[in-house]
Amino acid sequence: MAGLSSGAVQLQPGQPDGHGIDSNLLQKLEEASNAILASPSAEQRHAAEQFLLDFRKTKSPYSICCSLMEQTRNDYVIFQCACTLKEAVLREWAQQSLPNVHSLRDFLMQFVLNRPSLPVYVREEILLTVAVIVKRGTLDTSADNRIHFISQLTKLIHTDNVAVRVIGLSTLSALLTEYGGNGKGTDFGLSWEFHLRCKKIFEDKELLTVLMVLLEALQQLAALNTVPADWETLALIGKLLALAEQIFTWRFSLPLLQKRFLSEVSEARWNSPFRPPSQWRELVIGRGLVIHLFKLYRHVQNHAELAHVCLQCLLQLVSTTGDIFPDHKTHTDFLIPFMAGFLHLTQRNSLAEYEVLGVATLACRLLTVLPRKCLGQVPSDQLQAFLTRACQLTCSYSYLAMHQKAAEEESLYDEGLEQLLQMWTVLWDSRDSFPPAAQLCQSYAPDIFQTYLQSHLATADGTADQAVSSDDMEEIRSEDEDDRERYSAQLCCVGLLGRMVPSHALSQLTRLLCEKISQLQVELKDSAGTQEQMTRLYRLYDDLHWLLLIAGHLLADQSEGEVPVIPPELMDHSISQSQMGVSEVGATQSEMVCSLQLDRMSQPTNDKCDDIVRLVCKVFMLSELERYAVQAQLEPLLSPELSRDIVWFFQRWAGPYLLMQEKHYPQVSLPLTCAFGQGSDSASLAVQTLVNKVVSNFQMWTSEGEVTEDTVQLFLTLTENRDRCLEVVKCEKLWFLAMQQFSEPFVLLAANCRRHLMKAVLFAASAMSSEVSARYWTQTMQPLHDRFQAMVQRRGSGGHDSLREARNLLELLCGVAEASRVDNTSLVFSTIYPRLRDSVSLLDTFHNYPEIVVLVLDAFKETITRQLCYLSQEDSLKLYEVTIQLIRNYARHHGRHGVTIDASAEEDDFNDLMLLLEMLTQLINKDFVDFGSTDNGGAGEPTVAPSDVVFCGLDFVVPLMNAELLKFPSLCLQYFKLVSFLCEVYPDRIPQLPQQLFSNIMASLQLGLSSDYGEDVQKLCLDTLECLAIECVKSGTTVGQAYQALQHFVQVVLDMLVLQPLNPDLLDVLGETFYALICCHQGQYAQLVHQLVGSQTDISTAERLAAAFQRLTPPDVPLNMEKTHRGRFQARLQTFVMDVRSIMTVR
Amino acid sequence: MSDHEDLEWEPPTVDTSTTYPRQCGDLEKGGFVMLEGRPCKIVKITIAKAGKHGSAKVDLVGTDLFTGKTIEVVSASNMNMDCPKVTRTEYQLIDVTNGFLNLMDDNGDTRDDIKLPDGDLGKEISTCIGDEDYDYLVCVLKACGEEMAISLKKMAKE
Repeated sequence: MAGLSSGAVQLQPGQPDGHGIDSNLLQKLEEASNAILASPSAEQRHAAEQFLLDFRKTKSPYSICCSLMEQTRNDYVIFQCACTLKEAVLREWAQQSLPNVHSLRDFLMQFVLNRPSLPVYVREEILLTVAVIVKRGTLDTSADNRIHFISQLTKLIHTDNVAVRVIGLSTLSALLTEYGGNGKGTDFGLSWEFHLRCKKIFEDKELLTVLMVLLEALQQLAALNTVPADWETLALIGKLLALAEQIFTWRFSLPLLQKRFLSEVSEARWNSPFRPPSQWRELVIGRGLVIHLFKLYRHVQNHAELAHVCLQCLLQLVSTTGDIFPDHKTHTDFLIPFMAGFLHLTQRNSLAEYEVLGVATLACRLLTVLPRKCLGQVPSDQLQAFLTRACQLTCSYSYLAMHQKAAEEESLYDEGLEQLLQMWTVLWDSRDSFPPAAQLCQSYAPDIFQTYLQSHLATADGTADQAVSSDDMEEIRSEDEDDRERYSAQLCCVGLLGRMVPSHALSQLTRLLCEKISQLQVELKDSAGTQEQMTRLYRLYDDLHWLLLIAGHLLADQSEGEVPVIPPELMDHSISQSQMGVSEVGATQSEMVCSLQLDRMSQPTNDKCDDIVRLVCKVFMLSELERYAVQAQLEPLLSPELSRDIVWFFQRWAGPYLLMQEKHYPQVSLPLTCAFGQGSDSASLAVQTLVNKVVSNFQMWTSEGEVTEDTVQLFLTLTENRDRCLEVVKCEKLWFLAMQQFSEPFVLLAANCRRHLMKAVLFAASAMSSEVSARYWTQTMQPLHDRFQAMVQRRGSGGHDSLREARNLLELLCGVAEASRVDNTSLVFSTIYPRLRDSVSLLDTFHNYPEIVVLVLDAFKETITRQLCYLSQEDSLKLYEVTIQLIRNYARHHGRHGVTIDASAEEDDFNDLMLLLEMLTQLINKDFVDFGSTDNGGAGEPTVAPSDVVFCGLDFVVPLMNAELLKFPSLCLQYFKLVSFLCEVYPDRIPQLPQQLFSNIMASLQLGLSSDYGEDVQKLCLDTLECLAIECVKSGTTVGQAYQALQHFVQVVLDMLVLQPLNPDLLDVLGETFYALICCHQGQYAQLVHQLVGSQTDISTAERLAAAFQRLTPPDVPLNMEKTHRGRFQARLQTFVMDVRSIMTVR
Repeated sequence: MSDHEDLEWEPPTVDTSTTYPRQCGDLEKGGFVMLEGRPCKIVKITIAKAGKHGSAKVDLVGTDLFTGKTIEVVSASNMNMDCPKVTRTEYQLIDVTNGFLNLMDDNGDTRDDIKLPDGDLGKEISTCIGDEDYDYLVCVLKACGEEMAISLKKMAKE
């Protein structure tokens, strides 16, 4: 092998074309190729690779390669020759004459056609070289030449010889890859402008021809009754489908979408819909393209890969959009064949695994894109047939999703099921524009709902897997498999399906719940605790678990921020039941009361009770049964998971139903208001029962963190809302909860839970009369005060008991801070302020204990976040002062050098800094949003302003924020949030900062822009610079550190705009910042433009660049901060970036 | 600080046990716990359960405070675990001799029985010796009778 590299050296100097080929060259190439393919030693491989790489650099290799290709029988040598030719053509394009290049292209085509047995990789590489030659010549050759070439290809595709057809299709495919310009093509080393012009020309002229060829080929294949299953035919179909996929995913250049162009430059983003121009209408819509594809699918259904591509084509085609449809009708006509196709496709008894998701997505997407108003145009029998099939599939997926679970963690059927369920909700939502949709949904919903239920229940009622082995019961599962999270999308859809047929859904759930509860009652009475009984119980718990999840999703939606309301479908159902006399108020009320008392539970259910109330009653019964079992010390037999489900259900239900507000509904159901509404006895009884449940859960499930967290959430739901809270304060247990927070078991609850409990307990005070409230407040807070004081007095004597006590007290203090609301601000503040003062001195004792430091900072942060904007001037002042003390004390113990960060450090280790940053950011808010009263004028000017505190903190924190620390994402983001917010609110004060601090901030901005901290950080840095620049322009200053520092950033931002990879989402903010910067430093800008233009070696590029700058900042338009100028600049900038980038980006 | 002639042993503190019990579910990441008889810092806590309807378990992964060895233990969430009493004391750094630190506490008492740690911290401490412009504080962590230096702070001279 050693001789090889010397051979390469000989080859290097430009050898005369075609003459004196080293007779050994072929032999050496073959040796090198064989060496690479025969798993050589590292050394041999390196030598062989080096030889081949040198060979690729051969100058004018055209004749050598052609003759080598004809002489050798070694495929890999042919491959290397093709690569060499491709590179040489691109490198030496300017020195070649067009006829020479064209004859090379024709030689290569002929070469491939003459050798049908070439391995695929060699053939594809040669055809790629052909495609590169064609594209490189796009701007030099006449259109005729290219059209001629394409028509030659078309002829190939129309021959009878399959191998020849494959070659034709492969070449087209290679052309599409090269012209497509989505970053997948070959690197030409040319400007983007070149690529874009080529793409546009190809798109306008040849792409349509390619589609036509494809259509004809599809037509031909689809017309056959059977397709021979030989590999040649399959390869042909594979090629055809690949080509179709390329066309359907083609991104047409649209002049209006400049931003999209920019994102195309930076990277290829997939999954945009097919948006062909209107000229394509006839071909895409009028020639049965969809039908042919479906027919082809039938031929390839058994071949995993082909079927997959074909489905992808169909999915892409179904999402076709844009000018091609002049109106909804055309769109609908285009989509209707998909229905028939879908039926055809799903005809078989079972779908293969690779079809599961695609088929479901097709159905969902079809109904989603179908214009709702035009649903009526679909022939009703066809729609019916489609929906019937979709319903069958939904049911079968629902079954399979539960039964295929063991095989894979993320079941395909689960994903497919989600799509199909989604489809039904789409149909239901279209009932306003297409009324029959309601009835259609109602006719299918019972089946689907029923099957979903059965799939999740154990035998007798359902079909779920029975294999609850003892292993299952002991296997340790990690908590991330929470069904509520994992199946939330499915459950929401199933809940909605249930609401389509409320009668059916409610009665099914109630019946099953009833049965399961009786079974549970029996099991618990005879509590042997044997293995068999446990197995039975586990099954029962799992059934109950699913029933509660489904019932909860049926009755209510999760509400975030909005007032939760009863779903209109259910309200309407309840009203009509009551109007028809199916339900009665009295029966409903007595049923509700019975369910809340265990001794009356066994009474038979009343037929005239409202369905919704009856379902809720059953859950109350279950909950009470569980509570009694706990009291009977049966908890080893109980399920914490079920406990969670019960309180979760109540929480979800209580939001809209419990003490419901009639004013939220146009019409209310009488039975519902009588059972759950304001002033009803049963509602107040229900609140009491729930509070008892909360207490019982805290006592019995103390160490089950998930149960207590769900429980405290329920308690919060009860106390947050004033109407419910009025009932809560009537409960004796409330005082117990409030007073016992310092004793077991409450001190053993998880930290978060203790906080939330404190919050909920304090919320309750808002619903008491002022006198009671004062007493309640004192009694709740006194222990906290006393203990705090005792601890502070013991200062110095750290010790472990104090450490635990400190942790506990601070945790509760955070809870107090979290309980701040508008209605209790001054009360909370007067409670918390002395304790904050104490906490500052706690830092002296515990500064070496990060867990305590973090809690102290957290208490401050929460107080500032939730209280500051409501505080009076006087109170604010107190808070500022104590915060400054905190910062000073913290800084004193923290050391000034910064922190040593070892490799194993995690973001959590810097929670203290994180909290400090958040706290400072929140402080600035006071100058932004302030609802606090300003005190009587006598107080005079405030002595401390929020900005003083912030700058005090800044002085400490900025020097710490080095590159090492900024690597932690949330810390980094929070720091830059603080800096940018600061500059936005106090732009005039930043330039006045001490020199060291100021330059630290500017250096961090530079770091933020140049490092890989992400888009958000870059945006914040740019915003900061803009604020500073605007301030400079406004004050007209040309001296000072801010003015000086900004000069450097003109270049930084200019580089980001024209040279570095551009994130299109940043363009707007980049433009605004750049404008402010050049307004500030006009001289620097002129100089940079001059430099950039001057540095271009190519004169025409330099001229065009200069012209682009002229258009961006015309000499007659002044650079100032007036709004109109800023707006116009922004518009010019888009064009500028496009122009300059297409000249300067090379690929 | 002048020399102390009357060097005396301090009386032992009342609480002589080196550990205290804490409920397993109450432990948190970054806290300390005894695992297999060794004081450990908790680096990972996973709440798990025995079967879907079983009771909560806690999967604790800790690193030995002094040897760095990783130890993993699964325990029921309502069980008590022993937790080491960990204290951190700061001393002023005076010198390094024969691989041991010379340290002085707030009262001016000195000690020289703490090893110069390995790794970056050790190197950093060594480079600080002789820097007259700042004071350096070494934090010493103590648990179950063992001690070691864990961090270094640079402070302006008072």
